[in-house]
Amino acid sequence: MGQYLARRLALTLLTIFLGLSFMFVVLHMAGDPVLLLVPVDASPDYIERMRVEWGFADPLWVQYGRFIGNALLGDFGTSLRYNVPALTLVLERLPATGLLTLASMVFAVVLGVPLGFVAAVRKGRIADRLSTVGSVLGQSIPSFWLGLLLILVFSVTLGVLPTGGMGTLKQLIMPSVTLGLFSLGRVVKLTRSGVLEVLRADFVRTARAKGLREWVVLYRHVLKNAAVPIVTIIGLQMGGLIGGAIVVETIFAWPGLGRLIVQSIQFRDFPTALAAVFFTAVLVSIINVVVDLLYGLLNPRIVYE
Amino acid sequence: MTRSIWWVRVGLLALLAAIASSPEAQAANPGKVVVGFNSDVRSFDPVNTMDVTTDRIIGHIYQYLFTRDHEMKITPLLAESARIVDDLTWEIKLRKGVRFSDGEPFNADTVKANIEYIMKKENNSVRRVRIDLVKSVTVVDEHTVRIICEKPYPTLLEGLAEIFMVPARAIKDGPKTLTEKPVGTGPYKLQEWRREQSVTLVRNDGYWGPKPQIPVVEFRIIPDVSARVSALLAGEVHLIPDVPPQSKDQVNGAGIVETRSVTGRRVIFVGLNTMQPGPLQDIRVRQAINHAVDVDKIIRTVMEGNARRMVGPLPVVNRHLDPKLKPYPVDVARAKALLKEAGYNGAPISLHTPDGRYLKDKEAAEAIAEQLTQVGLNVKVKVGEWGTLLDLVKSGKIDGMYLWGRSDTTLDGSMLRDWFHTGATWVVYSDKRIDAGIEKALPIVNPERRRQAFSELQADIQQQAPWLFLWSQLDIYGVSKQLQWEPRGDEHFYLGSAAWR
Repeated sequence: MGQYLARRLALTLLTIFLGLSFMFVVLHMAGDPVLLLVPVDASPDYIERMRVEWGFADPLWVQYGRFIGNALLGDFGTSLRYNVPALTLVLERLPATGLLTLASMVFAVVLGVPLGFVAAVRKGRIADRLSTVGSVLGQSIPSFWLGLLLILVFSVTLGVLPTGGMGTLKQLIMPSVTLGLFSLGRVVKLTRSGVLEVLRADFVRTARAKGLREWVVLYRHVLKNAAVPIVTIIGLQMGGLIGGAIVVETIFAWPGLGRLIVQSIQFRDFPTALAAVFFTAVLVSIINVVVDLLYGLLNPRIVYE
Repeated sequence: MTRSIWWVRVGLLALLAAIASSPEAQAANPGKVVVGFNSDVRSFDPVNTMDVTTDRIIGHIYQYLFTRDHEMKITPLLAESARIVDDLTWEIKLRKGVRFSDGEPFNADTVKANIEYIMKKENNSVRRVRIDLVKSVTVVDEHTVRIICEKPYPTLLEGLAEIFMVPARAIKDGPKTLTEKPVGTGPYKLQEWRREQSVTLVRNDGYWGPKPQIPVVEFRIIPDVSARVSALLAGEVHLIPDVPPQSKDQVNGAGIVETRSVTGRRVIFVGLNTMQPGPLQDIRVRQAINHAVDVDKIIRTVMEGNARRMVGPLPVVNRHLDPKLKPYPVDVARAKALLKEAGYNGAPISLHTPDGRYLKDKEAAEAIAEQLTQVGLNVKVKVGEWGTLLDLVKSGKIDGMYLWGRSDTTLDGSMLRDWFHTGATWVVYSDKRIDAGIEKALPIVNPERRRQAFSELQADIQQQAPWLFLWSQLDIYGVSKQLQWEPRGDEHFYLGSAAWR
């Protein structure tokens, strides 16, 4: 177990390092950042001096060395756009991203697992059909469309929910539903197929043969054994949601990491973009390790060596 | 089983109660105005930051020596008057009894400290470009300064109308100390800044001028344009800039809000790169392009009327626009003849355009390309990412033509230098005769002679056709009908004189 963890950790660090380096190179290939950061009527002389001040006049490998060296010490530099440490900007955003990710995951799981379960138990019946259609819809509705539609209905027409921003519980509803709907579809489908598989297993027949009540069979024997794939998909989805909530965050003016990443790339604010990517990579890696460890708890047959 | 259902019920009830009782901001402050912006203040340090959105917000906290009134005429703000002493020297009288919100007095030393800091090259102030011909400032008495320039500087006051005054103490400690804690002389003070969420300003009770009627102004950051319009329609915000033309009817049909428009200072044109070998180096080809495109028609159709045609190199808002100038007439036959005369052989010409940077930019480029094709030009539209386009134009490597926008920052003929002088940033055109004309006109202080010099230049530049002259963009604002507020043509944005009906 300890050895497994150490290996996972080393691999994770390597992944993060490679990810950062890749991001660094791609960002620098994308064009001159100084031009985007200075006002459009800046003089050529001013542009040159800012290029030196921000360190973009050095050869790329010097810039890279400096970046990695500082990053190892936890210093991602100063945001070129906001003039504050990039790390501060990213840390400011983490709680918002965490809240939105959790809320949409809770929405997806609380609704998705029961729906998938019911669909499996009533396979082929109307409940199954409905939940399958629903989950396909949830996955195929684009979030920008759904988000704007929700705003039009609930904010403009009915006036019951605020259009955006963060702070109150009301403001959390539409973004987390919009974001959670996509995951919901996957959770429903995976739960359904997982449960169907377990339903055919010998131990379920044995349990039924013992004369256990149906709900005991379903809860104790079926659901618990179907949990492993469900946990996997929850972990994967959470990883995706952390950095991938860009559209939803933009529509609902949610101050999260996804928007920060897109904005900082748009404005070539390299320090901020790199710090944000670093934290996203770390969070996703942590979630993946946690999911792996959870397998062991849920299913004692899985042992790490 | 029954027990688990009971728990679910209790949980749901608690959730609903929490939703129903969550605090609502609107009720707390009846007189408050909420403005929806697409981006946030970059910093409250006005010495090291300059962009439209930032200036619109911090312009409620900091003030200039001079500003423009609604007719775009320069008027004193923190100054009382300006007098030309000699060719190189201006004397400026300052308003008395003005204090910064931290109690520091505003006086001649403040002005000297501010201007000298910005002028020092190694301080890298982004606003230096606005007053780059200033040499030094001397204090005459507590409320009088003299500004000495390197060359005659007729647009000094226009430049000063973009320089915010900060306390002398902040200059001494370094203006970056203002990044999150602004201290100004203006009618509002910062109450709360939630980065990328909102900026809340409250009335500054120690303000020297007329007391604003609006007690609290909140700038709310709503990056998505449709969501911004929705927030306006839902009554959550009272004022938004940049309403998309296709949303105009929706806004005006809603009852509680309306659109108000003004001709803005952004000009849109197609730059014709003459620095690279190719057909565009021939003046006849450039003139043919101007004859071939029916600009009025594109304004009517693609822009849905939300633009005003440029007749020559200066926009309608510019005070030196020559009223006698006539635009290139649409003349397909003439365009074809000019191309034939130039020996144009069908060589491909690119038309680069951003997508979404300016109102309907890509659509306009496509319409222009279509009309150019009609006269026999082989034009290909290339949509580029904004950062990449900046790079290409800055380096002069952009091939062919590019749809572009510039902002008329001084509303003075001196914009011709920024837009057409060899070697100016973003200029991919060079003509020694035009350069000489610009250099001759720039230092002229006498208003009549200055106007005359710029009029001649405009005719000359129009004839040389370094651009396909297009239009000035209309700035469309969505405003609550209850709010008394008129948009300005210089993109400045001020709620100190606004009021609820």
